[in-house]
Amino acid sequence: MDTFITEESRSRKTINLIWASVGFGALYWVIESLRDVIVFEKGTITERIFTPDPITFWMRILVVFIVILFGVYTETLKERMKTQKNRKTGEIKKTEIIWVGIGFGIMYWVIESIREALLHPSGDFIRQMLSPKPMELWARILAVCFLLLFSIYVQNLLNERRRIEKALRNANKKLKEFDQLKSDFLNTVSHELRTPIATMREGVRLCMDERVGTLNQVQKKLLTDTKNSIDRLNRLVTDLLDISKIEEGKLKLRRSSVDLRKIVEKVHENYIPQSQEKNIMLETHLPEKPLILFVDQDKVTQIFDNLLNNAFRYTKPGGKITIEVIDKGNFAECSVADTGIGIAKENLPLLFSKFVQIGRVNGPGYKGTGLGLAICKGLVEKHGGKIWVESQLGKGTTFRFTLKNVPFPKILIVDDEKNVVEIIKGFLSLDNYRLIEAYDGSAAVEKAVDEQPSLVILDMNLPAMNGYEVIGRLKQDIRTRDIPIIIASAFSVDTKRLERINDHAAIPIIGKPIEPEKLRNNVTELLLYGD
Amino acid sequence: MVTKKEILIIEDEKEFAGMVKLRLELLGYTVSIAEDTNTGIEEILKGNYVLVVLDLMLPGGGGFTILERIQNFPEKASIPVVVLTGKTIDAEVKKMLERYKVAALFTKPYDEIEFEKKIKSLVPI
Repeated sequence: MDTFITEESRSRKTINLIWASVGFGALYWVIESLRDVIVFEKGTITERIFTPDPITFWMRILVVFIVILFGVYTETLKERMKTQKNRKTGEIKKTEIIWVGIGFGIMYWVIESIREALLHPSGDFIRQMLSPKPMELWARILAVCFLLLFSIYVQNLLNERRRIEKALRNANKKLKEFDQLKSDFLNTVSHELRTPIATMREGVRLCMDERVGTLNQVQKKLLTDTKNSIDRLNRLVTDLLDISKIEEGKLKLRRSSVDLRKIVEKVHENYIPQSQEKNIMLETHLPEKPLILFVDQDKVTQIFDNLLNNAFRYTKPGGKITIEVIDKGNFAECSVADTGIGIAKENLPLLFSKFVQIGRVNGPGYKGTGLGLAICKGLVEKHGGKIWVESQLGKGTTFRFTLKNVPFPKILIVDDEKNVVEIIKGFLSLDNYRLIEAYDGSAAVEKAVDEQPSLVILDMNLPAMNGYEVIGRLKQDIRTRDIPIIIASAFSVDTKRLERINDHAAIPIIGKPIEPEKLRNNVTELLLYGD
Repeated sequence: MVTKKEILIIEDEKEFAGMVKLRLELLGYTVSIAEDTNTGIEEILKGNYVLVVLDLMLPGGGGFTILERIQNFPEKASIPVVVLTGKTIDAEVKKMLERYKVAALFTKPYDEIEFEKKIKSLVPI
């Protein structure tokens, strides 16, 4: 963001400078013409503006050109200022610009004299320099004053830009600092809260489970209630951290290829005890064929968990909860329906906001934090899906959400040995990645540009172009520089050389023979960054 | 008489460490506690531990410093390490844990049943 602002204002500054120079050039042209008409009584004003004699014409062009050069010079002067003495403010001082203006004024004086000498063969150059005609003298002084004014204008223009730039940079820096502070704060809070929670829970658990002596019924009940409250406090901490991560946009999905049916089956299994305990029927309808999606398994489980916890909380014994997954081709539609108390129409729009609990239920069991649905919404949207609710007061509620079927990442495998490529393909085959291959360096670069893979697995010892050259090419090209790379090499890798050619994220290196687990972990990790 | 298997807990939160110690002792292990990074390293090197329960945020360095140091001692590097931490587990931490081949990871507050299962499977009594 920082560089973005600097670069943008720099290009705008150059445009301003060009316009100022063009404006000055035109003004100068008109003044010169007026002078010719008034001082030298040569022709009419239109003639002098549009059809001056060749010498006048070229002299004027020369002056305008010098003015533009002067503008560019001032710009570089400013750059120099920034790096040298005026580092603190980066601004140009008035005295400096006046000296430049005077220098230019003298140059202008000389050019004018040459012109006069050329136009009037009788008058020589020295005389034109030292004692021009009175009118000519005043005209020149006027022009020099004008130039000085122009210099000061340019100076102000540049200094103003510089000030704005600086203010923006400072503001950006502050924002970044605050952002970091917030993250640090949350991490610390998380750690500092979790440790005492863990201690309380551990103590209560050891007593409650009668590991340290037998308890009577009242004691047991008290400890169970305490443990439930501790669990609730812990959920609140976890939920707060989750929601702040979602809001900061820092939540990263660890996508992998999974059968959605497997996730839901596992979720169903986890809720069987609760359904028996509360006498609520739990039913699950799944598609017959596998429904392979590229999603974050933990996060999808979390969505179902939150919805099911809600359903159990608001459904009375004897009721029914139904989980359903439908394969809709481009996406999967999932739903959790209950026969619970339902939600009034006017409350529906509030449902996915933070800290909203409609119709809080008293009594024992799972207590909500009021964040569950806001987290669900964040997680579903991160997966490129939508979540919505249908409900009828007294009849029940159905939450539905979609999970987009994003294309599986494409991985380019580069190795000159065909059997190595096949082995790597074998290791990655379980995950449904789209695998493409290249057998030499230049083909690798070409394929990376054409196919835009999400990841490149690269051997270093390649014909035509070695691994370092391939990395160099990929990192220089705007079309491929953000594609993460994994080096798979049987030989040691020159990390110094690697650092020189790669100023992007560090490239992980795995040795050969390749350990499948290591490769798959690295692949998952790097695809995470590309999310 | 068979000597009891010895477990080292490296944890700076005294109360929590004490309770985990009690839990493990009730299972039949002998348990010692180290409260900071250096004591932790010293204990591992001079003791005869069969398993280490390690917190990541510790005074004087931290869990990763300990993991790094014991890599230099082949006979100690193979002791299974169970990480038990209140730290938020992000991609960075996961990567580090993979690098040191940590046997298991539990975040506070932990699931005590799973924890006991894991310890028992790593070091049968």
